[in-house]
Amino acid sequence: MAAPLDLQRLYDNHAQALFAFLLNFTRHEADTHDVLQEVFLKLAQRPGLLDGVAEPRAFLIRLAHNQAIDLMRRRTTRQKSYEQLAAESDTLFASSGDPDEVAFRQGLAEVLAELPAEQRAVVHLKLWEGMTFDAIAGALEIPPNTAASRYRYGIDKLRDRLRPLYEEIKNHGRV
Amino acid sequence: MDEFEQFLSKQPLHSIPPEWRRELLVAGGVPSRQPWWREWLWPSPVAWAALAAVWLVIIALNFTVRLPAHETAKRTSPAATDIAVAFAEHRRLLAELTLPETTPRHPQMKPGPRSELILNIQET
Repeated sequence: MAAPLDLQRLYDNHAQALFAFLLNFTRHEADTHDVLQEVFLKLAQRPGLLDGVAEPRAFLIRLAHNQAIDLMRRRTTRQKSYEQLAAESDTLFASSGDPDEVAFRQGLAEVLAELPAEQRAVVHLKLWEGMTFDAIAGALEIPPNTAASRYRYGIDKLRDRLRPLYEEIKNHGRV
Repeated sequence: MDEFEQFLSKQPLHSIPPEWRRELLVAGGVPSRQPWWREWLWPSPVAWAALAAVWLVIIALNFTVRLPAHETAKRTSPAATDIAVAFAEHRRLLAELTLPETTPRHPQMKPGPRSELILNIQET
């Protein structure tokens, strides 16, 4: 059994990143909670899981990603697909008092929701975790070239769709 | 990453709900018996500490400002009594000036009937 302090340390160091990744991937806060709970339960049940792991963050993302895919498969019989659920999510980004920022974040969340989940995962890890394509490939268990191409497709779509909003913010000197 | 990608990466993500920490750690088998102050201060112990520090500074400033204020108050007390005396004098003068002219300032003493008793005694 892992020492309680270790689990707390893991939570404090990685839970926010896992939460953001899972929320972007599943687009559903309740599912994010369920997956995170399964991750920490698994860590508690198998304290040696992180032994010899050089990059705990990447390992935990892989664990969370696999748990999320299992959850998605279990729920394929639901009326709503995850792509439909994706359109409902509006809490991916922090709120802002600036209307331009609000509009941009809303637009960004919407376009992210339109991306296939696996593209979204790569884009998230590259943009908000700053991971390399090799690290992303390791975390998502895909070849690095696949990670790079998924990122390229995803970012191109984001660029195309968000260009007007981005240019407006840029013209206001906020970039 | 180009400028657009950097701008995207700077968009702040939604924070994990604070109450999840306890729920998830308890689910993971971590006993919830933590020091009371830790649960009380979570999830922003630094923010609470900063707030406490600000209050300490405010209290300290309050004490340092209050002492001279007492002294100043003591120094200004005689001045206040001077003002009161001057005000009373002013009122008195005003009352004197506004009294009607017909009213005698001091009640006049009417002489009583002359007594012949003393003259009679001297003659005798």
